[in-house]
Amino acid sequence: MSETNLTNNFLKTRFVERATKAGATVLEVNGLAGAAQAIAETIKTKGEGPLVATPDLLEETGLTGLLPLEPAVDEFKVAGSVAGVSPGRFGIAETGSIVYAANARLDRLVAMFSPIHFAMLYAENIVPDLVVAGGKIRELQVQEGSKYVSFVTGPSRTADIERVLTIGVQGPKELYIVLINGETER
Amino acid sequence: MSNPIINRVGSQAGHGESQGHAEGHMEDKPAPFKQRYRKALNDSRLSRNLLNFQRSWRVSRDETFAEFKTLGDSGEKVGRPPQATSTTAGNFVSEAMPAEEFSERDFQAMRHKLASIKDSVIDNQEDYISHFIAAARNNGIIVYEAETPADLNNYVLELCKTKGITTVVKSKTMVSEETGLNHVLEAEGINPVETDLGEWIAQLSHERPSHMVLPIIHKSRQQVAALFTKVTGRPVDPENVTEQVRVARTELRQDFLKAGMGISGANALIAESGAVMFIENEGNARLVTTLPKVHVVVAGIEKLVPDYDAAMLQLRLLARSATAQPITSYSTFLAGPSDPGKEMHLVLLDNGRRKMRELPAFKDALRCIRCAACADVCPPYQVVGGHVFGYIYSGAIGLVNTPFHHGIDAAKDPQSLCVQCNACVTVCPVEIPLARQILDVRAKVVEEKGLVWYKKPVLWLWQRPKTFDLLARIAGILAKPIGSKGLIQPTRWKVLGRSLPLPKFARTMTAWRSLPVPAAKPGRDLIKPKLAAPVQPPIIPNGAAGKTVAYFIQCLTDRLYPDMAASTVEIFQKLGCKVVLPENQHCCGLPNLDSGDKAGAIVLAKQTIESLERAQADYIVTGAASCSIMMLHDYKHLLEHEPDWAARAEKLDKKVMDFVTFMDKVAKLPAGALSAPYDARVTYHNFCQSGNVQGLRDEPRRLMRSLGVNFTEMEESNVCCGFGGSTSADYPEVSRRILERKFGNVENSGADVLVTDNPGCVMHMRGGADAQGRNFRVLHITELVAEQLRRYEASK
Ligand code: SF4
Ligand code: SF4
Repeated sequence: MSETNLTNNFLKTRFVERATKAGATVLEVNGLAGAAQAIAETIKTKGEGPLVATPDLLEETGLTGLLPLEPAVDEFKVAGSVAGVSPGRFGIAETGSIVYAANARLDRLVAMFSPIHFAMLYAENIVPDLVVAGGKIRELQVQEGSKYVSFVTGPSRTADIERVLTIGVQGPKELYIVLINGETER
Repeated sequence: MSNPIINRVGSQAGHGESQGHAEGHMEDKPAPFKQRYRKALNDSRLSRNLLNFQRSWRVSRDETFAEFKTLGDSGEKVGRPPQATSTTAGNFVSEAMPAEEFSERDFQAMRHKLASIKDSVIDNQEDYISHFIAAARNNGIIVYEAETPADLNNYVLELCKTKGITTVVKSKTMVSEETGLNHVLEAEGINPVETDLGEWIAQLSHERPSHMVLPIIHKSRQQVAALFTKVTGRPVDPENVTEQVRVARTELRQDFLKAGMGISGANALIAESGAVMFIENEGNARLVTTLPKVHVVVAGIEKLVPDYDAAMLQLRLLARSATAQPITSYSTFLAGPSDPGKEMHLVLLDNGRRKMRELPAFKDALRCIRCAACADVCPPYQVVGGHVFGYIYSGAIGLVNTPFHHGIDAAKDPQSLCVQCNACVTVCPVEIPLARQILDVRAKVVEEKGLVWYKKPVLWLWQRPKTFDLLARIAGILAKPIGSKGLIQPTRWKVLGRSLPLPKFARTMTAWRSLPVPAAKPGRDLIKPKLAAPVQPPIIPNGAAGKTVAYFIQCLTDRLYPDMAASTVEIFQKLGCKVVLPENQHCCGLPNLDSGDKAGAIVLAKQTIESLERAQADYIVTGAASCSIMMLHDYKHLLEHEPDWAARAEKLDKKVMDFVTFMDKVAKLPAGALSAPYDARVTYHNFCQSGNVQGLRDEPRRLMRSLGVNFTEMEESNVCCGFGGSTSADYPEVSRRILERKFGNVENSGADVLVTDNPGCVMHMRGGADAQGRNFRVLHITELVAEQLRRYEASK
């Protein structure tokens, strides 16, 4: 195995371990077809409602044609969906976080407002730690003009009432990370 | 030392507790202190919740830091494979971390680094502010600088009015609590809705958050259910927290969708890009900053950091310190309005922060990242909660910043609850010297408001060794007949109370704790005759043999425990030391410093320095760790305006040490050296300053091993016993409850003997154990060592 592969495997393993610890479910798949299949399998049992992605990002997910994705035209559509799908920029192995950089309000809402959220991440886009991640956000915000960059680590949670950990307050109750092996197909 | 600035803040009309806010919203300020204090003491759930919370927080917080450290210690950087050191290993290696990043895994190194980064910002505050503002404006953010709470409130109010906004959704911001923003909006018919679950519950119950991170830690699920039932008109299961959270989700969704404005706080303001960082777990802040058309950030100027690297370091420390998580669910970096038609404002608040910056003693407090760790380890906080231990800001930092943000009247009473245990200082992720700053606030309070009446004569007398000596001897003779085994039990005090006009505080002080009888003959009288004897050969080989030790008795030991003083000298002599008694020694000044009487403390510090300087000795040793810590850690700050004296104090540093350190570093007895038949199981209470200031953790345990006693560790051996000097006089009830926590731990350990190294703690614990009929003995470490030496000699 080449050194690059060793490194990538190490990062992937740690990422999966940390994301799982933070309460996310990682679906490791091969290619986009694998991603589509895993998502379809998962939502089978999750009740009624459309699977949504924003019009702008539908294309970027690469899933059109593979899944019955509907455009999320406004927040009501998102709130009424069964799940939302959005592409993550990169992952952070140290924390198991997915990083989003979405300027459009709707793009963010899919990740914030849908009851279940599928975050797509290519395994090759995992950086080791927050130190490297900090440099990447600088690039995103200072050079590329990304206004709204977020690290998402596990589902929404609270422990405000008697310190009982409860999942799903305002954000998604379930976070699935669709971790795609293979080349970025775009 | 005089603090003209606090003075100004304190006397600023309209910001004192007694005067109300300048805006005139009287009902928005916390109830008077006494009322808050009584209420908290009557709420048994409060202290129970907080005790459970502090215990579990401590464990998980330590785990998250330990885990982080392990990742680094195993020779790999977090997330990096051990082999990946060459540039061919992956695209990220070109951005490889410098070698010093390895040490960043360690909490101490990390916090030191963040502290120095924040210091660089504080030192160049105005530059950073203008740089940040320029960058933020460049990002399209409308920036407004608010000097006072009223400025901030009016700005937001006007914005709502101009835009016809009637509903505002808010995510957590302590700054808006500081300014009382909700109240101002409500008064004008605007509906501010808190969307953080805990804040929402606090808002619905017309309360303030009692903890910066867990706002309703003082409430039960049953109380929440009752509240929700009232608000929604539907029954809510009193036991089911999940259902309660769902109610909040459903109810708040409506508000998110109809709000015209979102108000959020900020965890960091990033100067290099003009971006705002905020972190959260619930996801409400992301909605607050995304859904409404207008977004307003309110933040104090202390939130500035230079760049993304600093922000990342803050992330690593903040989540671990606040919620014991490696990172929160969401961390967001917002660099301006993100979609067309969106408006973003940022209000930067001063409200006393620039004044803090001008004061060397207080500017470090501006490093605060509001993690609340200082409350999570604080023993009196556990007893009374954040509505009492603080004002708007709670925990140690609340005691420090309240005079600046809300005036000295608001700070006057809460600050006196601090027992000076220094636990907060050990966990603060930005190394703020909180305990010392609280003493500076205390001194300021005393300077402005004067001492509590009953401390005046005591502290006055304290500064006059000769009069004190005479009166103490007379008291000893008078008290002798009423004591038994050297203690006056609560029942005796009651009898006394009938015949003497004892004030109320004296009754509460003595109701649960026996107090020692002052000795008719002080320790020095017992020791003096022994000193003339020729130096003995050591009974066991040790590093102290042949050395000269100057013994600093300490006032309490001298007057209350003369036998303890005699035992200490006996130990030195058996180790083969020559013992000398520095002339005119009296008191190091700690009781005065602790009571806020800085002037008195200075007088006594100088007396002590003069006395010790004259001693011809290799070491100056005291059995009272509190005194050596005072000499080693407080004298320089106390004498900072008198460099000659400070230098004299510093010169003594090389010789001054506490008994445990002396045994560990000088005598150096090997493990089992003094083994002798002894059945009792011994446990050790780390006197909080020994542990937290001096860092003595392993030393006393090594000493136990050298004694060869059957040692057992108790839980929370680092947590204060509740003595806290002046606090146990001012708030005996708080003191008693902290002691109960300690005794619970002692009993769970199954120990027969409880040992510690500070006579104040011995007095407090021995008195409590005696009055409450506990079945363990309380010994000072010198008493245990002396006993063991005797057993050792007898066994030979
Ligand atoms: S020194 Fe101790 S009592 Fe005082 S604030 Fe800090 S933790 Fe609390
Ligand atoms: S003073 Fe330190 S421990 Fe307390 S809230 Fe601020 S940063 Fe946290």
